[in-house]
Amino acid sequence: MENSTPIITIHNLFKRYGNGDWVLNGIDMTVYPGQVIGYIGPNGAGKSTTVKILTGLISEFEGDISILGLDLHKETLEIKKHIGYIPENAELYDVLTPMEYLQFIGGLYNLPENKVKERALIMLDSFGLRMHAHNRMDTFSKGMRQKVLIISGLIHNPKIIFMDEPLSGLDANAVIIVKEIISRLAAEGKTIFYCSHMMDVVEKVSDRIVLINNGRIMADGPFAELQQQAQGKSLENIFAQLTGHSDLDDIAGQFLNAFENE
Amino acid sequence: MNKIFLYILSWLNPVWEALGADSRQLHGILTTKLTMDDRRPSTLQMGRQRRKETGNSTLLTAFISLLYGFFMMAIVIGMQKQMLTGLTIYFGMFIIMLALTLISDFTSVLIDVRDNYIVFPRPVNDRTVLLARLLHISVHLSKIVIPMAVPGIIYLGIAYGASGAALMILMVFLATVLTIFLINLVYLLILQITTPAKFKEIINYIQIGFTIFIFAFYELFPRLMNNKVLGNIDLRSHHWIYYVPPFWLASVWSVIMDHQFQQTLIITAGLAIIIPLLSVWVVIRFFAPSFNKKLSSINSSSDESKPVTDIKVKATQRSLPRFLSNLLIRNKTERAGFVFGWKLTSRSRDFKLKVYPMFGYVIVLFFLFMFGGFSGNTHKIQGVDFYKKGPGILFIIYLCSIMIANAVVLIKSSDKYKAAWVYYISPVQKPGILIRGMMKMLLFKYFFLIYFVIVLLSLFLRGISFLPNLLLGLVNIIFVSLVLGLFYLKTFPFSEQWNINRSSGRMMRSFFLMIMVGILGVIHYFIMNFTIVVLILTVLVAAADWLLLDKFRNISWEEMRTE
Repeated sequence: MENSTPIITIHNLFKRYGNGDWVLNGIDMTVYPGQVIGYIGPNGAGKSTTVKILTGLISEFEGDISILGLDLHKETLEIKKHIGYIPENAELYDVLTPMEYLQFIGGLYNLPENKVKERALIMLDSFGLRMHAHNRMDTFSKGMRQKVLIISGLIHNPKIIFMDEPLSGLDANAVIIVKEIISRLAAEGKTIFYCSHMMDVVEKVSDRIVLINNGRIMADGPFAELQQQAQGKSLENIFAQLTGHSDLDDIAGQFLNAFENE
Repeated sequence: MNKIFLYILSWLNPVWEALGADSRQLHGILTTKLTMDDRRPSTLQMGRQRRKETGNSTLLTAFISLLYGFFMMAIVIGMQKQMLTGLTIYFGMFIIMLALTLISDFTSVLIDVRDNYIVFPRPVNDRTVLLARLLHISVHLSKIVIPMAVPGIIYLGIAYGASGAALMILMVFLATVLTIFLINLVYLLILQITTPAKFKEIINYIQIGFTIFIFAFYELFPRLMNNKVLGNIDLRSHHWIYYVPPFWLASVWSVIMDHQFQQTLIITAGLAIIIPLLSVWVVIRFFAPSFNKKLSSINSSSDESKPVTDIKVKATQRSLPRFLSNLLIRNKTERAGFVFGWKLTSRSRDFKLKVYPMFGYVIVLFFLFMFGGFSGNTHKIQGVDFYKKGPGILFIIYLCSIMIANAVVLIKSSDKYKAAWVYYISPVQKPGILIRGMMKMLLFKYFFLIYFVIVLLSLFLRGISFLPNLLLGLVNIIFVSLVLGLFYLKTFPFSEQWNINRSSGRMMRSFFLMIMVGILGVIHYFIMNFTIVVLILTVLVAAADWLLLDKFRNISWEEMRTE
């Protein structure tokens, strides 16, 4: 796969808000079609900023990014057509029904209405939501909303998909379905950016792991490779080691010390 | 109505395309936004029917605007001989009403941060987004402006012919433009001086102010209309009037229809036309870009709260509720109820929006009694004398029960009612202890503080000899509140959804409350001048209060209503 043309190239990406500290400190990355990238890092490392830049939500940044051979600075709209985004906080227009919402999203991608309807019904059905297709989402549980959110990110059959904690709130069956969807999409040549704090899931889902901390890439490669370098530790431990907290046990001890003066 | 609008919209597709927008996306965004608006209740409905099916909310808003329009028309008719004054008042009311409606009902629509996640990642160009926003605003404006302006336009059309109506349409348009400019200014100002997180807080207070304004308007308006003084004032004797935009608009009429060509009037009429056009340019050129930037920052910066570096200072800071509860209450659970209730009532917007307008109502009624008294009593005791000699103070005292009663009833509901699980996992033996703390909190926060002001006021007006009456009033209202509390506080505070279908219970409650307050008030009125009787009664009621307060302690888990 490495010898095909890259789908995303990021070169020297810097970003800061206003005159604050640098959130991204020179990110370099080349991504090929069909890769599932586990994008991990501690809170505030710059994960969501990267994703917001790549999805065109933030247009001000320094560095060169090309997606599908197009310059992100210049051809944002063309790029957005091929991107699917499943944000972390399940923001939906929840006074609408799933069907109305998906029709709306489909309209934004200029998809024909009956095609959206057809796709939406199949997708809702496979998530067990067909019966709820015409109920308002303000009565939905978190898991149900998350399912609609996932569908809305995939309905236009995007080439690149960004997912931020896509499994949150989903029941065990749905988790299996989504994981399987991810691996099949990758097999079809779609590129997936998978952001999560669930290390065990990242370990299984992704075939390449990118770990960032303080706006820099700390590790980049297949899990097996990282594991080899770290003498067979789990991803969780590698994460702790690379983000500067090898003494997590001590911190737990300190936490429990709070009871000591009783 | 929306369908007609969308039909016209698609009819104009070539125009939108020429402006650089994608007509299909535009149509989609607007359809969605309008559908969502119809499912969202407005503040004009006082938020009473939340979550109820409100497919008609558009119609209702239009109807209320129409009603208001008739009121305004009545002013113009009432001041036929003084068109300049009449129209100045007309446009003053027009601008205030429009601005308040837009700010309180439309802010959530304008500033929907979800757009950042839902619309912006999709391939939609800026022109389409901008155009969609503008058209969306226009739809809302027309729903308010057209019904509000139509009565006036029709009247002037009948009285002065087609030219009168045409001129009026032009002036309404100018007034609308001016209002939008003012709102933009207000928004920018608020965003400039506060953090985006506080923005919603401020909008909340504007909403509260708005409900009070509406109440005051409907109460005071008929009285003002009867007032002969208003009919004869000549605004031009006041110099400041030349700086007020409604006057500019009215002077356009005077110049064109009444052929009054004084220099000042021509200048102000000119301002009425130039300023709105200038403001459009300013809004597009300067406001819109910085406004959008600010809007996107609402999201990014309020998402993650900044770590407070001086945590220690914050934690040990002495707060008023903590101080009061330490002073008043020994039991720790009860204290917790007091402090928790105090903080939550201060911070939940929906609670404030429903309870705080009551303060305004009482103030409005205070002045209402003063000017013109209440029905039948108009000429006997007027003005301050109503409070000095008449039963005015008693009225105000017993009016206070509205506030505390409202707080008692509403404290059980919240948007975040699901968080109430914490009560049920707590090892409290009798929830009554917690509720007793809340009850004390309610009395303190929503009654004693206000009552203190009333005490000072009435001591000032009636002297120290009135003190026994004030004490009786105090214990009486505590009595009413406690009885109400024993009825209604059988649910945990902030543990229920805003109730939907219990309006019948609501009627019963207000009825019951009014009778109880009424009886106590009337008894008080008759014995007002017999100090000994007042004092004896005060002691008796105080004892009753004490017993009632004790009853709270015994509210058991079995008595608590759970949903």
